[in-house]
Amino acid sequence: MLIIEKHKICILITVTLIYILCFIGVKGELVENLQIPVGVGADIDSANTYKVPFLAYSFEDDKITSRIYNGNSKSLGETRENRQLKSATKSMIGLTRVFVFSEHIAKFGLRNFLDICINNANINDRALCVICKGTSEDMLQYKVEGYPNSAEFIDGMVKNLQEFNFFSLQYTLIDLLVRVDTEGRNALLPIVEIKDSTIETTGLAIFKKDTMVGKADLKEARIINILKENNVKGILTLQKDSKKFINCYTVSKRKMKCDKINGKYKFIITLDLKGNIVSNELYDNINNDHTVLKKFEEDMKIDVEKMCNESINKIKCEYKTDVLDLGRIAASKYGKGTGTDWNKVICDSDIEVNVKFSVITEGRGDF
Amino acid sequence: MTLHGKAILEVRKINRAKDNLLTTNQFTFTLKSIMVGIATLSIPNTVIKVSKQDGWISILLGALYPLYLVIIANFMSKNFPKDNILVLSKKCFGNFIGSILNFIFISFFLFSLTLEFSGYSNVFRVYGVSFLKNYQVLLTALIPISFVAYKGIKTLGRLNEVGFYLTIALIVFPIGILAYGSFYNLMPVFGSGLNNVVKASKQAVVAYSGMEIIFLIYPFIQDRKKLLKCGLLNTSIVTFIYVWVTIGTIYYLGVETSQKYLWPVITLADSIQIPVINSFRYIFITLFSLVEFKCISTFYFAVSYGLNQSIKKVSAKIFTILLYPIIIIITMLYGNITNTNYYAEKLVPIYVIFNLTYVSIIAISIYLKRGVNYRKA
Repeated sequence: MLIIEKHKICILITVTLIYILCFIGVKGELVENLQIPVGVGADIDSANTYKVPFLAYSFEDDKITSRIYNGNSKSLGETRENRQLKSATKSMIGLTRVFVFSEHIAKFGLRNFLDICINNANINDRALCVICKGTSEDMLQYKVEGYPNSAEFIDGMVKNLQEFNFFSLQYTLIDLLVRVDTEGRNALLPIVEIKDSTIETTGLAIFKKDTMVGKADLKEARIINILKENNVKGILTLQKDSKKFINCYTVSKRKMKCDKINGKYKFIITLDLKGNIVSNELYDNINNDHTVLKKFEEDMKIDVEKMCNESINKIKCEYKTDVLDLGRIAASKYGKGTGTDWNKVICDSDIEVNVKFSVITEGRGDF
Repeated sequence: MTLHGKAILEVRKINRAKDNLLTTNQFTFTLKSIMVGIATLSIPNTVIKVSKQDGWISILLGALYPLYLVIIANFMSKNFPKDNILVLSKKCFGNFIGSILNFIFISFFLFSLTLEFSGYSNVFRVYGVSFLKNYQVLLTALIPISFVAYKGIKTLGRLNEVGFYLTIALIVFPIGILAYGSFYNLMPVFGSGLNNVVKASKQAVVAYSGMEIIFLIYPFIQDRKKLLKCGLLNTSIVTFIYVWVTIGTIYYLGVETSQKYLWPVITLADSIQIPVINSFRYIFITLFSLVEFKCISTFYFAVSYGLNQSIKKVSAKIFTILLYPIIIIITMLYGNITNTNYYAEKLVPIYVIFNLTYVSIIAISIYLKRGVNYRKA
């Protein structure tokens, strides 16, 4: 004890010295010297060269603009090196809001890109992922009126997809990472396109593992969404001509059941749709007559069932992929890790759709 | 000296002695903080590898190890409330063999400490301070850690008591994941087979190591009757933390994706979304270093106190100072996380087996010669 009391000052000096020695030469970074990308693209050309453009803010006097920094190389990590040669600032990955993959790289496979994302601890896992038509550089460079850059527009657009068309918000990077290799699951990503001088969502890209295998247009995407997601919103319509139609704002509830009969899987999807009538010129006297309302519900049910069955047939014949994540339900009931190829099994099994449709509100009145 | 003065001195002595003792809470949370360390961040992966979605059952089974230790410690404490295991082992094996075995027992704490520290440095440099070098993190972080160990058991106990609430908050905070994951990931229960579940529980035992400190510090508890209760409470808290973390990871990420991460539990922190802050990861990892500091401090205390008990001439405080460079050097030798895990996988199971036999033999010999030879020795 005495020894320590005597040498207390020595210990104090040593501790101070350790701190000073460790932090000599460590300095912070000025924000002006940082390249902060809001949008990151990924592309691959026919010569197998990766192209990763960054859309970064640049600060001029008191104005904030954005600029594209391109990085091209044979491997993904080296694009960073290549990009540094063309930029005047230090790159800081992490505040990304949107990942824009071109159709080309999606068909080539996203595994390498996901790998570099999972490695980097600074990546924003909640950044949204979209597939774009054309090159990702064109998409990021495109100026949308009223917005500082296209990345912010896409970010807002994809976040609000869930309001209509039965989209559900599962297009973040972590959603993609979780879906790619999990047994019995497949990812879906929205496709965006430059159309009529604005950026627009035009469909869904269908993935098998990390590669894109098909494209569903918006009409089909709606049905896939109803079948795949729970608790989604959108408008269902019955139409005779351009004057006679009925619109119904619907909230869906979906339940799945799986049975194994004689080694063959059977899936039953039960849809419980609850509708609010938005506009109605098709059915007369719907607000007062009970039978008319019943007839409308029956008509809608038949219509939705027909659409669902068509869509399921297309999934089985054209995409040959377990788009609806049915494999996961079967695997969670009959055991995982058995080496079953769910994409194949789903195409050979029965999928039955039961639709229940009911109107909950009729609105203020009928004109 | 007057009679009155003597009485005051006597009271002071008792107070000082009491100052050195831990309350029930402090004792429980000291045990907890030594167990919940860097292993918490990667424990889902160690069990998922073998028992897949049933990993959490393996962790429940693994809790038998600390339970066993608690029961043995309670038994020893009943017979020899004032002697820790180092004294008992000398009585049991004789002075020479006893000392050697004691050193191996203490070296376990030193080894665990360095593994823990190396793991901490790696996590922190990946997620938080990528601009710092290994030695910068090690040298600076060890100073507050050694300071707590230097101050002794009471300070440590107080720190652990305060820190416990932080740990629980940090671990339970990611409850937001319930909105994102899926129960399908956890099904079917027992789908991986009972055989694999038991096999994986061997891996889980490694995460529970550290509980051995109970044999060093049970003389410090104020109310000896509550030792069993403290031990059981601690085991259930730690088991709860591990099971929750594992279920959470499987629920949120799934079996396949979880294994792609080195520390999948940090990913759970991402589920907390605070406006302006991009990801909760940095805050989580910064707060988690405090949890980690407690853990390493407790290990540090165990080593310096254990050495002091073996070599009584040198005080625990001096050992604390002497250990500082040794810990830095050993930790630097591990290097990256793959190497650290390699040594951990090789050596920790051996130590666990050693600890189990060492503790059991002493307990058995106490049982056999109950009250006869020991009391005289």
